[in-house]
Amino acid sequence: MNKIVKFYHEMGSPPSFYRITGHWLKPLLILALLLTVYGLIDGLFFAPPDYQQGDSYRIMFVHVPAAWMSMFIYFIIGVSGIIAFVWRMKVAEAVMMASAPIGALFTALTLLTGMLWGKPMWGTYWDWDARMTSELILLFLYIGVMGIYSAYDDDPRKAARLAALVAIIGLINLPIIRYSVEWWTSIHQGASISIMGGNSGIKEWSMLRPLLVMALATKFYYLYSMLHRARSYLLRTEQNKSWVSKQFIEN
Amino acid sequence: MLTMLDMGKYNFFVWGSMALFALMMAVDLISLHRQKKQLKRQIKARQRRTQS
Repeated sequence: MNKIVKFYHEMGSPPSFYRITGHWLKPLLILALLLTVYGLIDGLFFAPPDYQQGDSYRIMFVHVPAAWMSMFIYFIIGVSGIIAFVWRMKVAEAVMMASAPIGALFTALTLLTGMLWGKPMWGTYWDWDARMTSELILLFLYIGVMGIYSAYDDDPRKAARLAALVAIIGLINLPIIRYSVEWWTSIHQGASISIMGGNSGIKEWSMLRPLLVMALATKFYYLYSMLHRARSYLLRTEQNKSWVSKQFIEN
Repeated sequence: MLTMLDMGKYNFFVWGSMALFALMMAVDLISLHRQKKQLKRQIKARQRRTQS
């Protein structure tokens, strides 16, 4: 227990956070790349074609992990936003702002691959239905968080506090996206995975395996990208502190 | 081998999605490293200014 508490306190201080996460970057990137290569080869060439959608369903192997990440990352932003807002923790501010660009990227990827999947399956690239509209709002929320921050760039702490407020309010959008296909009539299909069993979702393991591998790969990539940006964020906002200058004397 | 790459009438949509995925990840990776490099240069320049 002591070790966990110690680790928690260490991760809360910018110099130790910078030092500890520095060792994680390379393994995370390698894991992400290997899993992506394996997952995509498995999904594109070895998973059987779908009985209704043929080969087009293979878009799922990038679309669904990207969609999961777009919501997962926003959840992380919301939680670190609350921590940053209530406890004024610098590392939480760094994690929040470092997550925003990669989250926005995954949201854009979700929308674009969704359009490419929608055209052959529904006959249209875009429809203003609940799932698509709420995902588009998520993209605007990401842009909003980043925009508010950069508007107050000269005072990073104030900027982060305001961005956190936007992020926290935006959390309400997450359950709306998740349940949009159940609450409203939608042309979007239901969930691909059902954790509680039930009849919906993919049952075929050879289709499920690449999907889960890709979900892991995108998680690792997010961790890599987020930690990389968070470390830069800390260097930038703590420029006047001695630990930052020490970093550059050693190198 | 080439027949495996063929997605029939869905070629554009499937490979387009894969290309988008690769492009987005590459954009993120490049911007990440570019930002870090720029920041390091900035901080070093600042240090030199304060030292002299």
